This record gives sequence, C-alpha cells and structure tokens, in this order.
Amino acid sequence: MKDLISVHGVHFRYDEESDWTLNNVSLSVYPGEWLAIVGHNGSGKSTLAKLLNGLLIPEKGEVVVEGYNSRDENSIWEIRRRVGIVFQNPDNQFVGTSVMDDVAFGLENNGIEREEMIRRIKASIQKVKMENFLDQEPHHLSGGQKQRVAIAGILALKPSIVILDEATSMLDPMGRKEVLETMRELNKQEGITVISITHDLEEAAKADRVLVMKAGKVHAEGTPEDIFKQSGMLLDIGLDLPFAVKLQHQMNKQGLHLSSLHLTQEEMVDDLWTLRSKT
Amino acid sequence: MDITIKNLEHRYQPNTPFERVALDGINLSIRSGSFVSIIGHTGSGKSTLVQHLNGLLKPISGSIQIGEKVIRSSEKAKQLKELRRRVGIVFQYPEHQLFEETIEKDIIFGPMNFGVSEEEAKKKAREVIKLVGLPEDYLNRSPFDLSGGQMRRVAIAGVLAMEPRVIVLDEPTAGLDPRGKVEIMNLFYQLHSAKGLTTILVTHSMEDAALYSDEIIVMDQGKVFHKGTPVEVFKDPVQLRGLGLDVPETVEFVLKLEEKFGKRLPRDVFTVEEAANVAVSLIRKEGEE
Repeated sequence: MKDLISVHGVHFRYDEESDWTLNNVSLSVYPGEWLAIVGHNGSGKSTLAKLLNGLLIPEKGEVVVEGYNSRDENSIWEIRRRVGIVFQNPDNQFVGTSVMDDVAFGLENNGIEREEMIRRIKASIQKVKMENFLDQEPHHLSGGQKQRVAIAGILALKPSIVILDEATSMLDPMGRKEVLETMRELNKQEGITVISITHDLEEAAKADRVLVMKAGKVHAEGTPEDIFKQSGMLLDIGLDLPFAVKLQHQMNKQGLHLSSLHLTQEEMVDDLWTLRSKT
Repeated sequence: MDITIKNLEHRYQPNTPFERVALDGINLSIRSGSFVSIIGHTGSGKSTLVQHLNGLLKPISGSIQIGEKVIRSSEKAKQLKELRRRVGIVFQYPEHQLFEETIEKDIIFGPMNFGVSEEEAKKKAREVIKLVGLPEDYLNRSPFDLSGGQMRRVAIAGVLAMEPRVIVLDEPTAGLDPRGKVEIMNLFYQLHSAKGLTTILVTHSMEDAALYSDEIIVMDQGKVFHKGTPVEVFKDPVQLRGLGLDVPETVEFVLKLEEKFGKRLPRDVFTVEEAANVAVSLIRKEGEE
C-alpha cells in the first residue's frame, strides 16, 4: 500500500546539548487505517505527533505527508491542513465564543470564502453530531462535547489524517466513549486516517495497527494481536495489558484455557459460551 | 479528622449575569481515616467541592467542619491557615507547580511557610523523599531534570511534608503511563494505611474508585446524587451511564457473562483475580449440570 505519511530516519531533540528525544525513527502511515501509538511517559510519542504535522521539524531525516516534505517551508501549510491534532485538554483548545465560531476559526485562518465556510461548518458539525449546540458557549459543554467540536474544527479543513494526542485522557467514561465512537465513524465512513497516541490499552486493542515507542525509538510494531501477545515486553517497558488479556492470564493460572488470545471482553465472553456448550 | 459538610452552596461569578450554581445543597459526612472517592461527569462539581475542603474556595452558604474547625462564608483568610496545613491537596499535574532550583528547596517551601524551622523542614524533606520512593541524594538535584512521573512524586512529597491529616487527590494519575498510574495509586494507598490519613480521591477511573474506596460519592449537576460502598454504587450500570459514568471493567465483564449465560452472578467483583474466579466457577458449574 502507498504511504500517506513516510517518516524516514528522523532525529529530533529540543536543544542541541541534550540527548535525542527521537532517535532514528522510521515508520509509515497507510491510508484509512487506525494506528495506535503507545509508549511510556517520555518515550517520544507526543513529539512524534508534532513532527507529523510540521509543528516541529526534524534535525535529521524526513517527514513526508502526501508528497509534501516538512523541511520545505512552502509545504508546511499543506501539511498542517492535511494533518489535524486534537490535544489532551479540551479547555485549552476551544478558542471561539460559540460552537459555530470555534469551528469557523480554522477556516478563517485559511482564507476560505464565506459561503463555502458556512457549508463546511454545518457539514462538519453534523458529522460530530453537535448540530443542536451551534450557538452554545463552551462552558455549557461537557469535556467530550468540547473535544468533538475540536474534531469538527479539523474536519472543516478537509484533512486526510486526524491525530488524537491523548485526546480522551481527561474525559469522564461517557465522554471518552463519545469521542472514540465519533472518530471510529469518521474513520469507517469518511476514510479519515486516525493516529491515536494513547495510554488506554483497551483503545489500542481496537486499532488496526499498534506502534510501541520506547526511549525515542520504535520498539515494536504490528497488529494488536501481535503486540499484546508479547506481555513480558510490554510490562518491562512500563505499559500494561488490556483487561481481557490480563483476565485470560488469570484464567490460565486457574486451569481454564481458551482457544486463542482475546483482546476484547465480547470475544472472551463468546469463547466462554462455546466452551460451555462443549463441556 | 472527620469531615462534615452541611447545606453547602457555591456559585461562580455571583451577582453577575454569568452567575452559575456550581454546588447546591451538599450534605456529606466523611469518617476520619476512610478512603473516599468522588466520581461524576466533567463539570459536575467534583473539583469545586474539594477546593472547599482547605479553604481555597469559601462557601456562599452552608458550612464545612473539618475536625474542630468550622468554615463558613464569613471566614477570614487568615483563620484558614491551620486548615491549609491539615488538608493537603494534590492538584492535577502537580509537577507544574514545582519552581525551586533544588528538590529540597521545593519540599521545604511549604513547611517553612507555616513557620517550621529550616533545620526541621530539611529533616522532614529527607523523610518524605523516601516515602515517595525517590533516593535521598536526589534532594540536591533540580526537579526539572526528572521525568514527569518523578516530578509528580516530588510535588507529592511537598504536600506530605506539611504533615496533613486529610489528603485530597484531584485526578492524581492523569497523563501517566500505565505503570506510573499503578505506582502512584499504590503509593497513596500505602500512605493512607500507614499514616491513618483521611483520603479523598477525585477520579474518572471507575476501576480505581472501586478498588481503593471505603465509600464513593457520585456527583451530578452540583449535587450529591448517591453515596455508598463500591458494591452499592456500581450495582446500577444504566443509572451510572445516564450520569456520564460507567461501571469498572470487571463489573462490565460480569454483566456480559450474566447476559450471555442468562444467570445472576456476583457483582462485587473489582479485581482481575475475582473476575477470573467468577468465569472459572461459572464454566465448572455449567459442566456439572
């Protein structure tokens, strides 16, 4: 498959005296996929996100987004329009005085003409199901709703890629579900590529592909099944396992063995049901 | 220290067109030495409530009693000093509040502000740095050379150095990786047990609330919706989801088993081991039938 983003031999550090924050990182992002990036605190995940949309430029190596190289100054705006980031704190990224204003902000900055702007605002607010809140002020919105408005602001610019940089970590359980469901629909129906930087392993288990970062390097890469099989490796580098995997290990200890590794509760319950019919 | 809250009300921007009720008719009692979690959707009033516990916010009406000390709206800031020493708050991202050039200076800042001698405060610093799991020789280092998780431990050491009797944790694990989360929660639980602290945890993690709490307070729209043991609070998933909350993953698993097998199962299941026990004994029993 053709790469949507190619990262090749990227080195980055915040100042010349310090160690590399990213040390020779290479990876590809493919069109339409949901890529989860996991790693311990300080492994370089968020720095990588900022390199992917040209907020940071590599010291060595290259980041190429749909043919645009972030080292090329003329390409930067093309890259930023194609790659949107939703950050962690919903209150720090709401700039408008109403939902509609907030979504308009990015479009105004990009000099989109008024009629087109109104069309895009309506369409993108609909996609995140916030059409009943058009004139609401931010303090009347929940954390999950604010994050969905942030997503709408990105959608209005017609991006190819949305990066969630721990975008659900400050939300309550339902807010987290809302945001993830919204993104899953956009991923499936609009073909938007999602890169999710997360500590939530339940979420990573549902990705198409998982990338594990450790101390500024890509440590492992594969399907969720490939990655979560390697429980020793994950625990060693400060991560954890999805609940269903931990549960399965515990059942094994108690002498109950299931047919294969399950990453979700649903699969596990189904397998237990099959096991019951056999006994 | 027992905590008793009576008819507490709080409004933001009172007497302006932007006035907004944040807390409304809160009545609560928290037993000395207990571990209590507060859960609720964003904006339900959790953080506003805990900021009243050490006088950062004063009630518009109603009262808060902590030990012998009663806070009412008429309270002068000066009279709250002793309270601030007794009730330590660990805010979200506490590492953002570090500012001194060495870890030692950062830790002794609080106690010295409360009139403890420098020598005494330094002694305290050596004690608390070990409590949070960092080596004593870190004291002369700059806090800004540490990793995020370690910086958070230093910030927590600063709160512990004041010898609080009540400790309020406002989403203390936000942003930490999975190992960091477990380590910090274990640290708080150990301190809670070893020092007989009253601990109040504000959290979005239903798992942590279930695992550590004697009691859970459920907030909704500035009111206390429910208060009870983890078993009581997590027995009604539909109601919790309606409030923007959920049940812990262990309970969710049991509920899925119940649905699939059409059987009533124990729901007081809050650890992976307990969840595995439920599944294993279910399968074995089905085999015997």
